[in-house]
Amino acid sequence: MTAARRFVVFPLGRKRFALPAEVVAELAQPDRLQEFPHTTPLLTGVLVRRGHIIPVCDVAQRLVGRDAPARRFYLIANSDLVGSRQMIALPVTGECELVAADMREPAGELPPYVLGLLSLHEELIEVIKLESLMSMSALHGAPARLAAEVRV
Amino acid sequence: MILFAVGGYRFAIPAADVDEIRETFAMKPFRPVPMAPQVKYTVTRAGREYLVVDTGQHLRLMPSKATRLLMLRSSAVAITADAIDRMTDVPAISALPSAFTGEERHWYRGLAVIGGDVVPVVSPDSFLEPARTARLQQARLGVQP
Repeated sequence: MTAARRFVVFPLGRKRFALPAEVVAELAQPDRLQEFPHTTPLLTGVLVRRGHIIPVCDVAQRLVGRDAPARRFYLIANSDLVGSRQMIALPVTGECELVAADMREPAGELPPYVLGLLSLHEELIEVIKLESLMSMSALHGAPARLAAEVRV
Repeated sequence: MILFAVGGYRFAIPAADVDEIRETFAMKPFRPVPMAPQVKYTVTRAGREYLVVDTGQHLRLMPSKATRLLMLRSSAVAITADAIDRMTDVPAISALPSAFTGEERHWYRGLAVIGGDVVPVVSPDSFLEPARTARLQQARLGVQP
């Protein structure tokens, strides 16, 4: 039997997802999103927090589609991207929860960004591997947030 | 740094990379070519012809009204700006976070934080690479490369 690991469960609309707790740095209040032109899918801009520039990755576009409700908080996570560890801010739609649970291996036709599954109170929650989600979006053409789209 | 605005966004360019700032009225139409569709005008300065890059088109922005030209120092290229904001000292330029993997890695030298605002610092060579500038100039003059 494996020891329970800790996860941060976050809502995106009616669905909830999770990240391994060890990659989560903090849950932050809404901050000023700063936008500039770019073509990277899922990224919507950056935050400046404690002197650091943190990219904002709107994973809701990929996980629940464009109809996700307004994001209320930023979950700030550490991510290994392009060989370097850096912080990424994920906009989430409500309060997050820290849980201890056993993670099951992903089974069936789940996308490659699903690291595993948590079973909590009859709810099945996908644990997300952020790096896979972002690289998959770059490869498979999740819509880039071109400034022309954002500013219309 | 020179701060300038295009399409509602603010950008910075090192002052050392700009020779002069001019108005746009002296621009002459240039028939765009597939290798550089963002070049639609030329302007002559001190007997030298500069290719004018539409900065908004280069950065994939919605069309906007250019009122100024920034004449680049390192090449015969000028870039358009809707407005010049001001000059300012920037103590440090941060690298573009590696999460950004698109064309912006080519467009920007890095990011500056100015008064709490994040301002991309454009890379002058990205507007029209020296090789393409030379090919366009040769084509315009009818010179075989």
